[in-house]
Parts: sequence; structure tokens; C-alpha cells
Amino acid sequence: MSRSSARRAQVEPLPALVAVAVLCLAVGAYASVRAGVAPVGGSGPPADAVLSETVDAATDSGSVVVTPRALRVVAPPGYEATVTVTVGDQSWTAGASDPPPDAATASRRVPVRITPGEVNPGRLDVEVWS
Amino acid sequence: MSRAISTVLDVSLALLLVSAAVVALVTIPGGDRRPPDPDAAARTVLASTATATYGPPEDRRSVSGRVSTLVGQAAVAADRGTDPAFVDAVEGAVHYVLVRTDGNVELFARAGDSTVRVGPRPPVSASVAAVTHEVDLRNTTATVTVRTWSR
Repeated sequence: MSRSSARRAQVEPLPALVAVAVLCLAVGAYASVRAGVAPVGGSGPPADAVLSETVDAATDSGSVVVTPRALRVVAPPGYEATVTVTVGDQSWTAGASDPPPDAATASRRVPVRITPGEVNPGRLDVEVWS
Repeated sequence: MSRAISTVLDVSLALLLVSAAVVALVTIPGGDRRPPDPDAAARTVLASTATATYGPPEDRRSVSGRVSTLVGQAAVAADRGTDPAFVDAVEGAVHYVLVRTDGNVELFARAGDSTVRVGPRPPVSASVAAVTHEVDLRNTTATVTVRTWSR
């Protein structure tokens, strides 16, 4: 009984090695397809964070309305950013100029105070690069 | 020998699962179908200002204010059945704000049993997000709902 089960537990070495090699290749192929289809996030510039910080910085406390002259860039160290507020065909820009074409972008709809009594729907765009 | 056959079966099954995972990764569309942030859309529309002009030419009246206040007042006026010209003028002024808002936004204001609705309706296939705000008017309140959806 014990002899028989000991023999049964033995593994044929060649099929086992081939099996491990095939599995490694398969998982490797899966990983390369995964990397191509869904790029790993979190490695690009933090455009969403810069967007939130910039909207907060340009908004008076207790209000939700963006004031264009308060527009400034709040980028983490090591990154540069351009911020643009657009209302119709008017726009205001702050921050570094000449963003590279591969800069990370994010945007949000914001209400913008054009004159003290007039608030119009607008859009705030950020471009962030390192 | 039967151990070797079992190994081949195991590896075949594992390969089948891995290739099914690859096929699923490639074929299932991963596009971003989430609707735009409804809070940002609501803030943008409701905090904007608009001017409703109404009445006969010899007695033109003009009311300016935040969109949230204007549509709330229009819903109350519609509920009381007073001043239909004011309701129409507010609908027109708010529609102009929505046109200038980038994207798809629809707005409802409800007071009592009446509803004032402005903007396009979302298509059936769209993924829609909405937020509702309570608007305080002088003696009453109205609820204002903003809906937005992905293109």
C-alpha cells in the first residue's frame, strides 16, 4: 500500500518541465497582451489632481464660481502644467507655455465669473507633463 | 504514464483558460462610457446667470439671476398658473445657457405638481447621471434636477 502510493506520487520529469515552460509562455503572452490593451495606470502625470487643485485655487471660498484672474497653476514638484479657462470664444491661460503633444490632459465644466454680475458656463482644461 | 497524460490535460486546461482571458481582454470593449461628472455639470449650469425678458413691448420686464433661482421661480409660477409669459421667458433664457454649456445637459425644476423642463432629452442608449438640488425661494422651495450623459 505505502509502496504503491509512493510510486504513484512520482512525477515524470520531462512532461512536468514542458508543462511549466508552456504555462510560463502562456502567462507571459497574456501579460504582453494585457499591457498592450490596457496600459497600466498611475504612471502618467497627475492631470486629475492638478485639475482639482487648480479649480479650487481659482474658486473663491464659499463659492463654486471660477474667477479667471485668480487662475494659477498648482502642479506637484517635477511637473509643469498649462491651465486654460474657456467661455465661448474668450479664454484665459496660466502656467508654462508650449505643452508637448503627449502631455496628460483633464478638463471639467465650471461656471466662470465674466463680470461681477455675470456668470457664464465655461470649461477648465489642464495639460500636465514632466 | 497516466501521470504524464494527466499533466498534459492539466496544462491544456490552463492554456484554455489563459487564452479565454486573452480573447476576453481583446474583444470586450473597454471604452470609457461613464457619463460626465453630474456635479460639475450642475454647478456649471445652476451657478450661471441668465436674463429672462418678457411682457408686451410697451411694458417689457426683465429678470436676471442665477439659473437655479430662475427655474425654481418658473416652476412655482407654473404651479400657481400665474404669469405663463414669465415661464416661457425663463425656459428660453435657460435654454440659451444650456446651449453655451459644452455637452449634453437637461434640467428640470419641480414645484408642487408642475415641472419646467429645459434642454435635450438623453438618447435611450446613453449612460445618464443626475443630481438634484433643493432651491429655497421666498416662501417655498423647488427641486432642481440636472441630468447629463455620455455622447
